[in-house]
Amino acid sequence: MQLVGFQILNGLVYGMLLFLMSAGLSLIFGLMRVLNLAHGSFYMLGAFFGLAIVRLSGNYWLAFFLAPLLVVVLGAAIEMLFLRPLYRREHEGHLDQMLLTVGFIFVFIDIVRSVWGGDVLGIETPDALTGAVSFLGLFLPKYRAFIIVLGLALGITMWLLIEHSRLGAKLRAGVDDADMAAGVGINVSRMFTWTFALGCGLAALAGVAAGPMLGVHAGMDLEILILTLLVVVIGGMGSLKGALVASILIGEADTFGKAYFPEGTMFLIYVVMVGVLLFRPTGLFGLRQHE
Amino acid sequence: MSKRAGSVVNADSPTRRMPSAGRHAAVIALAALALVPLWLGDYGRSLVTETLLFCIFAMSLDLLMGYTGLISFGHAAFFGVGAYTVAVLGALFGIHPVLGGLAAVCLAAPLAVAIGFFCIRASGVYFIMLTLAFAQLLYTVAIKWRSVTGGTDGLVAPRLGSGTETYCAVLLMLVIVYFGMRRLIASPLGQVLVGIRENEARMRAAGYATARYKLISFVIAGCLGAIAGALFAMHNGFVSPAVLFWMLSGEGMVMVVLGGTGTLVGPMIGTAVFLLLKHFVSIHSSHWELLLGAMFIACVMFFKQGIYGWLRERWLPGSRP
Amino acid sequence: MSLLRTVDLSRSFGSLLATDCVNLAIEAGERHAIIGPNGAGKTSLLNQVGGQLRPTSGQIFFKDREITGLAPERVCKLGIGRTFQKNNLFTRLSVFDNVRLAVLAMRGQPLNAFLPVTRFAALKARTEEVLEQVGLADRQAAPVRSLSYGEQRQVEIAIALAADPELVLLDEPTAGMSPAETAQMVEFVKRLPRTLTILMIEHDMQVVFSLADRISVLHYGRLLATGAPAEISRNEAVQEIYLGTAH
Repeated sequence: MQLVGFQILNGLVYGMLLFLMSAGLSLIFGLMRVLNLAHGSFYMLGAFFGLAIVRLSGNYWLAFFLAPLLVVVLGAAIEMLFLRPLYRREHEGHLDQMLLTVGFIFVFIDIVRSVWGGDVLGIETPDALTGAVSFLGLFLPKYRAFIIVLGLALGITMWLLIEHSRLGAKLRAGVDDADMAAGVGINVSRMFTWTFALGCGLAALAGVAAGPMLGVHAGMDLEILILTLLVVVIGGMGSLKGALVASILIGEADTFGKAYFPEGTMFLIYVVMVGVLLFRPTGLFGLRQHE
Repeated sequence: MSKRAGSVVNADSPTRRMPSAGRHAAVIALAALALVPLWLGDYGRSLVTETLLFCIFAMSLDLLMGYTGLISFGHAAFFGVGAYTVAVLGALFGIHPVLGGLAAVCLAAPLAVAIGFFCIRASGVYFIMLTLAFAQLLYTVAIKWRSVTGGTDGLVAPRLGSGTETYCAVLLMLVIVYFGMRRLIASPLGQVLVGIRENEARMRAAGYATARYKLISFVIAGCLGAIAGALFAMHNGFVSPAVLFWMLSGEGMVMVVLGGTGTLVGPMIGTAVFLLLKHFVSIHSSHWELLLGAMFIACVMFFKQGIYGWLRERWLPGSRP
Repeated sequence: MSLLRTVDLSRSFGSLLATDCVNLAIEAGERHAIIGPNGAGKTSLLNQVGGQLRPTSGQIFFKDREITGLAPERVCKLGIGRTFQKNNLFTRLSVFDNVRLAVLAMRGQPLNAFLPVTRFAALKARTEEVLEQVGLADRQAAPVRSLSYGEQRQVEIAIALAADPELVLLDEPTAGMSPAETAQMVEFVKRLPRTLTILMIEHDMQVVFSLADRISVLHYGRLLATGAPAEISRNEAVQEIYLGTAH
């Protein structure tokens, strides 16, 4: 029973990482209709930037705050230089933007491999978070507890921001009708830049947070991307609630799968996804597509 | 643009009369290709063989991307299934590669129906995500199922006779696929696929069960992709999980976009240029992927019509609507 | 038997009731106009009939056969065609191709992958017939995006009629048209045979009164009144919501 409880908490940890990823992806798509396939790459960059900062400064917390910030800047630059020119494209600018992000996957993986090589590297857990904490009679490594708290805190913040603030209202208005929103004085371009940058920043945060736990290596972009995509498919694109539910579901499935049927973990997750798709083609909480 | 009423089709259609210069060029190219084993050495011939079979791969992907408007990030799945079927049947059961190739198509079709059903049903942005996910699943299977696929070590595949014999088989297959696709594009079904690409909602309101047609396109593309994979196995003599890896899917996209989506000749040009670049760059540097990514980004931003599109604009001004 | 019937049709978007218990009956051969202020739920109603939107509750019957919630392609196959408020065309294709696609769905062999589409003479003939009827025969080779707005609206109608429907849903057919174009459209609709039933949404009252046999008024999703044009223009409740609108 203790073991099961421990696994449940572990699953929650992984779920939170997936939540950060899928929330960022959903945010970008929900507001900009752009599927950022390079999302896993920004996760990877966050981890590697974090690694570099830790190596240079010896301070994990510096890396924790700085790495995502660097990626936010990078994301903003990419949006302004590469994505922005494509919004006005006549026929399916959004698809072109998605193809663009695919190009960046290749670029980033090459850069990462050239600078850091192809091995798995590690980031040391910060001193403040070594050791374990007791929760409901279970011992959970402090670091993992930290991730759970981080995920929940960010989730609540995003929810409050999007649903209940003027900024959120502006964001939602921008999605529904960019021209109208611009007409009422909302700077849609700037909003899109910030949204994309923030989404990438969330991915980078997940990456630097995952570093000490999962290691840092050049293939981590694809691994997390696949799971993130599965989460978004199951939870429904554009839904924060869906991202949370599906992330926890997949996190648990992955953890229990690895513990009890290691060879079949992936299949388990795919079976869950196929099951959901049969009954809800647009995900559990996805917006029903009318046309 | 031809003004013969009834034959007015969009500028992408190959039933438009090609200007005689273009047709002469095509005939010359075909003749040159047919004689390759005579005038190119082994290495050159091998390069051309690989290029031709990837042309089939690229054309099949273009059927999805360019003609039906479905961007798949998992096309490597079918290529890989084709390659592994030939390899496994050859290595484990001693089956001749041609039979292996037939089996590959027979396997690819129901697989395409299964995968396509879910991907298309989910539709919209989910489509590309799911194609990638399913392809990655197959990749994982190939790595884990060591007893059959050899895992990361790969598998030896039966070759089809000599290099020249393989070359002729590949060239023949390409010609068949090319003319087959030309027929398809010019047919009613081809028009329907283009309609779906242009405005799916309108197609549905006009009475088309678009999901069904998308699935048909997906299955045809999948089978053709498997043929390309089977040919690869026969040509390369060795198959590894790389044939199922997402990078191949991505490279396919680049070949198509570079050459020109929504045309038949475009993907072939794109494949040739792409592979030439890849071979050249890989010899001199280890940054092929950087170049690949940068090239793709540049294409999407500034050169969306691709090489063939650009050529058409220069030699047939005013032909684009 | 009414050709089209809705029974307590309702559609809500969260707390917003776009369609509120609408009971409508359209008779065969009729020209029926739906009017109402912006946001009254007119297009939502049409979208539910056409299959683009699924009703929350209630039913729709076409020739006494339930079509509630059917997909757009099924609805079209049963004999209901439609135009869209915002031009919904194949802009990069020629006018001919646009109409031919519509004809192919109902009259051709869309699954044929082996013969060139140009070989099907019946397809070509019917396409030319529709183009003739709509008055676009001389523009058939032009890509739709090079057409004027009014001409594009004509293509919209051509596509709807190409399938030879029994009922056609016109969503603001004269939206954005000049007075001359509007007059042409009205003449065109008048000339359509009575074997075709027309359900249209319109804002232009002159058009409505020129064409409609009966008018239904929608207000906040609810059906306020139905009747002959004269009755409707006398109706006090209707006058209230249209205060200031001259007709």
